[in-house]
Amino acid sequence: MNILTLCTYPIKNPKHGGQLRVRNIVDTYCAEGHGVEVVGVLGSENYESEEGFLPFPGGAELSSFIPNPFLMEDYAIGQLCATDDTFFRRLSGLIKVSPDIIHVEHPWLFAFALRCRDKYFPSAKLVYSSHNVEWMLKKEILKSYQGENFAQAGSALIEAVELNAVRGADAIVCVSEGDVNWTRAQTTAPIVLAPNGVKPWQLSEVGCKEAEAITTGFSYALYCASAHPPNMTGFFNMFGGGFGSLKPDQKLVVAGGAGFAIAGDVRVHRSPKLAEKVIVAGLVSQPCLEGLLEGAHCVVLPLTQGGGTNLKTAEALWSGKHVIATTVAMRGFERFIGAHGVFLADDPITFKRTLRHAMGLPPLLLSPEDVEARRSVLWESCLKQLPGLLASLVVEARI
Amino acid sequence: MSASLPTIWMNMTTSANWQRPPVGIVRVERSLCAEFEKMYGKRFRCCIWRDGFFVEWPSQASAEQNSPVPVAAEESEPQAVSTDLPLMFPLLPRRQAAAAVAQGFLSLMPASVRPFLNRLLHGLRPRIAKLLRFPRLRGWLDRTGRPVAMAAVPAPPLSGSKQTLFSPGDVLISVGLDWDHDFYKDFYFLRKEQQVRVVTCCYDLIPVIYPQYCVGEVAGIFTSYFLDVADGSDLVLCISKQTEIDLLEMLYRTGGAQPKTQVFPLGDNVPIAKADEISPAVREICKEPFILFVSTIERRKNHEVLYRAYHLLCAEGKRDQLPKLLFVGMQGWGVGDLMKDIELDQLTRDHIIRLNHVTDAELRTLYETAQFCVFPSLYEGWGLPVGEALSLGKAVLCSDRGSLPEVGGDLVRYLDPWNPCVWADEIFRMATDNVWRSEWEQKAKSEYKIRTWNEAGIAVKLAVDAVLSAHRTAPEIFSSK
Repeated sequence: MNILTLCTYPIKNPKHGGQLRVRNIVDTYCAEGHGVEVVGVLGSENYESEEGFLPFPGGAELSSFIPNPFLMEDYAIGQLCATDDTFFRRLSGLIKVSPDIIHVEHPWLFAFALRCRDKYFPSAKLVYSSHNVEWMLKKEILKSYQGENFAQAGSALIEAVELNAVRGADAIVCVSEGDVNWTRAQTTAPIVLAPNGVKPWQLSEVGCKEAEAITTGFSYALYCASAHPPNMTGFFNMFGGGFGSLKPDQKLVVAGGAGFAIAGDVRVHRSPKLAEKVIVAGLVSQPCLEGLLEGAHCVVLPLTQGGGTNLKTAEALWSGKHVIATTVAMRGFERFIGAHGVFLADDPITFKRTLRHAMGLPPLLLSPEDVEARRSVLWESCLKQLPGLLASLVVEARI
Repeated sequence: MSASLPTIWMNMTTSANWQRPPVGIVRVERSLCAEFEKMYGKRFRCCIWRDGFFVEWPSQASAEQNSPVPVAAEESEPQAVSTDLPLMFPLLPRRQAAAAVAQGFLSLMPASVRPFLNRLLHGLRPRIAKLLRFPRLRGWLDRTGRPVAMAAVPAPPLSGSKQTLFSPGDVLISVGLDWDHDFYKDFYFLRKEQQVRVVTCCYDLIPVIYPQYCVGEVAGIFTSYFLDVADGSDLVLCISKQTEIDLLEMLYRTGGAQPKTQVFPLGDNVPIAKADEISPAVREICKEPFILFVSTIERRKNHEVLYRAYHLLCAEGKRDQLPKLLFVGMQGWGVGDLMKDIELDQLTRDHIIRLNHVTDAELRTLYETAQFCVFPSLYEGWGLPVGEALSLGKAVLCSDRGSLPEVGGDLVRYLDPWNPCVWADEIFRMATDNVWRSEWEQKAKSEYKIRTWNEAGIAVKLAVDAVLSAHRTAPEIFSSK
């Protein structure tokens, strides 16, 4: 079958969690022999251009849908593509193959998908692929940055878009049990749970050398995260107020977009000892990231807000290192709470103390049974229900 | 050196750089040193930190003479001992050195230029202070894609190969103004790589808990310092139970190490005075009744509540029944307005007086002659003047905050340091009710047990012996990571 995937970021060189998820979903479909076309609009001017994507429309275009599009760009892009005839034509013009399934990542382009389906592909089935309960997450983010009133108004707009997607879809993909529960209350359409996962990796010598150049022989805990605002919020929630978890010969390596975002944030200097302990690795190659994971003594997941499941949690679990995580970070991976080498810490004091404790433990050694149990965090396991879901939709359409 | 008899080293860096009569922490360092010399004999040696190394320091007697020339350890690196000339001036902590340079410039300027330079210095002060505080943070925002340490990252091991003064199992006791130096950052590596047992001291956590009473943004600096000390210590001595609680709470809250701690008593025996050592100014003051407050004059010490109490009493027409109020101590920061108020207030004028630079002998005379003593501090890590006053049988009106109840027990009258009305009432009662005052004096004389430096030394020695004993039976294993 032909599958059209709509999203708001490029996926050829995935960097953040959302990109990785979409990329792995597309790969899963392709592996099943389906034809997959990826089309969309770049949700930020920081994304590199990619075939099948319109460039970021810019603040001027977006502000006609919301006066202050900061942190509401996705919402405004969705409105622009669904209601502005020029943008609708430009985006739909990128679609080359008539799809059997239109798979929409995030709710933003769902209104466009509906209009497009009704106009051009009336027999196509719509799948809404959720990454979070967006309006709840966005409300927290907007509140942190723009205040209560803005958060209320913004999240109400997003909730409407999200409900439109949930209620208009023929099937829905969710990433966590919590998201499934919320979604099930809104619709009778079939729902599939497909948590975020990780690809198994093989350590390379180059990656190890790159990692060693960053860590310079220190024992370290690793935090790997994108510059997504909740990743910073959680980091400072957990490590603010003084950071004494690490001994003088230990460090906290921050890899990913979060690294530079944390380095540029004044809060890192307000928490005594934190700046001294952080090594900013920033954006690193996949082999280097694997090298960092291999060399780490612990992986920390200090997330305090956000929905969905964190694919960095899957990565941490698969790394076989000690993991210190909040309940939020363990969402979707609850079965691993209390597992060998997995520590739960939901307040700053417990988190910091647990990190110190874990850094003093011998390196984690997983049993073959532990490793087997952790195979469930691999993408192949997480996404295994998706092909069946799509097949059932197409069969249903033919009947 | 026998493995069963490790050397006990005392870090005398603070004393070696101190050029004034010993006060506070310098007195603690020197007093303990004197006691350890007696107790440990030849096992006891002194050292100081110089040019990035600990080098041997000849003796307590030399330190008393304020000679800044250390004797280098035989085993030290050549570059550490190659300085032939003695230092022309004793070394100062960075902050003091910067202030001294600025002071010199200001003093040498022609009077016509001085106001401009003064304005410039005021403008630069916060920036210089900031630079001095965060020298390791410069240049961290290198966004070229290379890994960036938020602070300068020394490649480990930091010091393992360079420290040769100590033998494995030796004890290093460091109780000075350690935060003014860098050596405390080596303590962890001395423990880890050279198996040196490190004993440090925590006097108080006031900069962390009450940064508003301190100069500059010191909370972060001292939090960081105590975190390093906790990782670098086999034992942290605390001068009060309150300080021990404060330290452990801060370390717990921040995820820091939880080292062994031991509370030890500071000596509070005031030296005996000879009549010919008393200055005319002190003799003059002693001719009339006065209330004594011994403390540096700074915001935390809360001279303000005493001034307000005096103002209230004078406004009620009780000035003639009040003794003078004597502040003994250096003026610190943040009290300029208060001092101006006291100077200009018509009601209290000449009834609140100040003395500075008093000798030990004069201090004892003032304690002995005072009608009673007051100590309204908003927070203390110990509160030595309260113990000194009690040791000389004086009635004391005392704040009930911090460690002060540990010093005063039930032998002093405790008051809320934030309430001037209460202080006014109690000062007036203590000043005018001789029976009431006498009851408190009798309690102090009969029940207060003077704490000597010998007792302090014994308490610390017992704690050090316990550390050595614990290591003999269960040596600490550092993580291999």
